[in-house]
Parts: sequence; structure tokens; C-alpha cells
Amino acid sequence: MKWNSMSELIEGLPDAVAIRCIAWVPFYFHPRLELVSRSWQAVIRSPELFKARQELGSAEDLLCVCAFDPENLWQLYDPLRDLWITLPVLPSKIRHLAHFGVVSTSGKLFVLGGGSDAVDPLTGDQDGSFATNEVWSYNPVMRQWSQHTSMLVPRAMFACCVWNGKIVVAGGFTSCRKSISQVEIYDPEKDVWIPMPDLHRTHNSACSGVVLEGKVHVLHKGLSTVLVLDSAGSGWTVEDHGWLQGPMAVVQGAIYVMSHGMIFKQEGKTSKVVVSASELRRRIDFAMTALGDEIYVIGGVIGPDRWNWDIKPMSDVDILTVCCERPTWRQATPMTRCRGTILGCTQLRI
Amino acid sequence: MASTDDKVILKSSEGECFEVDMAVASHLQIVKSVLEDCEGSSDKVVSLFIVEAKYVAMIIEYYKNYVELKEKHEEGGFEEKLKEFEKQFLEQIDKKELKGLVMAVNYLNAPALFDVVCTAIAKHIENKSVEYVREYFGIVNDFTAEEEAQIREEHRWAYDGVNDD
Repeated sequence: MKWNSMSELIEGLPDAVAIRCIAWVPFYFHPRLELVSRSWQAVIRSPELFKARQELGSAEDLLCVCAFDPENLWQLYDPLRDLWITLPVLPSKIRHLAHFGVVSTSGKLFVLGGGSDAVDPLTGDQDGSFATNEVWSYNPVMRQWSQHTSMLVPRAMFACCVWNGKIVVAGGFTSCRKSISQVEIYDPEKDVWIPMPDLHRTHNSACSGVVLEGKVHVLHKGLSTVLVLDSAGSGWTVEDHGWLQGPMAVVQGAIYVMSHGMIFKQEGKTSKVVVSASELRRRIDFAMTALGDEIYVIGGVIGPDRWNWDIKPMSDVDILTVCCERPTWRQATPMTRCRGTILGCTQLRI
Repeated sequence: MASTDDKVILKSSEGECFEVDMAVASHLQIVKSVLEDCEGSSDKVVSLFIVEAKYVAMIIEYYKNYVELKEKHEEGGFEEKLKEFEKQFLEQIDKKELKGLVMAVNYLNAPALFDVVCTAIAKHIENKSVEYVREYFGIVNDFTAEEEAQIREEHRWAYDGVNDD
């Protein structure tokens, strides 16, 4: 149903003006406004409203997180109101999808590939697949998941990033647990995958992707060398920046790495200590990511140690402000549903 | 000092007249285009047929301050000073008048103030109940009880209590 075919949104106001007003209302409040009337519901779920938000500069940056528990469930974090929103369950047939790629582009959250090591609790059979080529997106306007054209190659534990509005996936492992060198690019407007030049070497470890100064960088766990896609997208070069190994976040173009219980900032080849992260030392399998000019450390588990054999899944969120002279940690509201090992985490601008 | 040539008279829907500096009135696109259309005419009166006097006064007050602040803070700091003033300006407006004001500003085509009022309206309805929003804007609820219950159920999943009405 189109909103402009119905009664006016606000009595006596042209709809275009009403939309400009509604566009300033934060995303978290949309559900309440949707209850006002049918025409309000239609406008709240219209691309026009989200277009107006982009134009006016009232778009918001939210964080999207998926953890081990509950399976295939994503939550969004609103940093200004410090609250969590739960998305409908990802409707993939694969139980406990993990090792996927996740990015956001064109106002949608994309979850790509990955696999599962889920075990059927009754039979003990492995009921997951090691790697899929499925591509899902969540549309926050329509508030639903939909499936897209699959990747050319099924993959898990691969590098995934947004480059000029398109999604680049590189490397990872296929269904036969073999590392792969294939790279492909997805155009969200056309819903097509196109092959790109292969990585000229593979490495037997998971890789991740990051875009720095407009260039795709592929990092392998345990390797100090980085593969960089040239700006035309025609080939890869090997660079060694001497970056520290560890969880990494890019805050306004600067690289921060957590290593040995400290947060470091990479400045060229040198690593400068920013602040201690010793409080987080016992935590593993968390996500470290940037939102605005802050670093977020999300979820994870407290691993077993000499005194305690329990594994404690966490919902905690710790935030480090790095823009100011004295970086400080603070805590956000913990995730309301997700807990444990973080399987995916990205920013979404809507 | 500005001569009378630099003045224009704005006439509200009730026929009330406001003498305004051209520097102020030129921020209203509608006034600018009316004056351009009848250039050379000595009669500088613009009728704002559908705008009530109280809104004309508010809009003039806003742009008077806007022009003054811009002149005074040419070297910088204008944006912050304007923000401060906008806060005061909005505080003295009755929330019921925001809707009328946005209609007037839209009609006069005054971009800077338009966004200010739109933001104020958005801020005003944030955290209000559905019933309040309906009443505030004069909207009739056309959902059935079942439909409303269904939407609320969907929200309960998404918000886990934070957004309960």
C-alpha cells in the first residue's frame, strides 16, 4: 500500500512536509509511530522516508551483532539511546550459521556465506554444511530478511568488505575445507556476482578484510603480510606494514589493535600504546569494532582458567573513546538477547 | 542606517502589517520572488494571505536574530550562537503552534527555519504515546483492534520492553 494514495499524514500539512518532520524522529521510535494510523505505518516503512533521512543528515549509525546464542539472531544497537533492538530470526535453513561475512551497503545488512558445525542433539550427526554460498540481506525499512543471488563459490572464514558501494569477498575456505584464492564482487543494485582477480596466494588460516584509504586489504591470521587490491580492482600486491596481530578496529581511517592486554594505534610501521585493556584480558572470542569515533568490544566468553573450568558467555559491551586526549573505557547496556562468541558484527547507516 | 527603500511590509492573513528590513525579508523566498516580479514598483507590500500574524511575528523574530548574529559573528562562531538562539526561540513557542508554524514556514519557503521547526516537531513527538501523537496531529486511528494488537506483538519481540507504550 502506498502512503500517498491514502489520507494525509498530518491534517493540513502537505505530505512532503510531514515526511521532513518524521525524518528527524530516531529509528528506535519508528515502531510507535507506525501505530498511529495506516498512512503513518506506510510512510514509516517507505524508502522515501529513509531517503529524506539521508538528505537531511538525520541518518543514524547503528551496530549490528550476531552471537553464538541464540542461533541466527541479530541485534541492532542504538548508541545515542544506548538500547538494543532485536531483528526477526535470519530464515536460513542452516542451523547456527557461523564464519560468514557481514557488511552493510545501500542501507541493508548483508550476511554472506559461512557454515555451521552444529550437531544434531538427538543423533549426534553433523547437520551443518561447512560452507554455503547463500546471501541474505536485512532491510530495516521493510523490516524483513530476503535472499539474494548466491556467491559463485561457497566460502567460510573469508575476507568481506564494501568497496565503492559493492561487496568484495576474498579467500576463505570452501566446503572441502580447502583454502581458496577466488575473489568476487557483488553489485547490490543489479544483484549479480562477478569474478575478480584471484589472490595470488592462499594461506591456511582465516582471513578478514578491511578498506583503508579506499583500498581493499586482506589480512590472514598469523601473517604479517597484507594483500592489497589496487584502486582499479585489477590485481593484488603484497605489502608488509608490520601491523600487530590481534582484534582490529578502524576509527576514522586509523588502525587500532588489541594485543597483550593493550590497545595500540598503528602509525605507519610503529605501534603506539593508547590505553590498557587489561580488564578484558580474560575475555576471548569477542568482537572489536568501530562506531563513530569509539571502539566497541562486544560479547565473547570468559574462558576457563586454572581456578575455574566454566565458560561464561557474555553480553557485555565496553566502549573506548579514542578521539580525546585521555582515552577512557565505559560500559554500554549489555545485549538483551545475544550472548557468547561473536559471530559477526558491522555498522549499519540508516 | 537603512533607508525606507530597504524596508518591506508583510501583511498577515488578518491584514496586520509588519515593517521588515529587506535583509531579513529576503530570507523568505516567497517575498523575494514577489518583489522581483514587481521590480520598480514603489509599493513594497507583500500579502501573506494564509499566514496568521502570530506566525509572521515568529518568523520575523527568527530571521532578525539570524541576520544580526551572522553580522556579529562573521569571523566565526555563528553556528553555535545560532543554535543557542534557536533553543531559546523554540522554548517560547507553544507546542500546539509548531504545526501552524511549519505550515507558514513551508508556505513562505524559508529553508533555515523550516528544518529547525521540523526538528522541534520530531523532538516533541518522540517518547509520546500513540494516542498523544494522534491527537496532536488530528489523526484518526483507522486500525482494527486486531491489527493494532498484531503490530504491538511484533514490536514486543524487537524491543523487549524498551519501547512499550
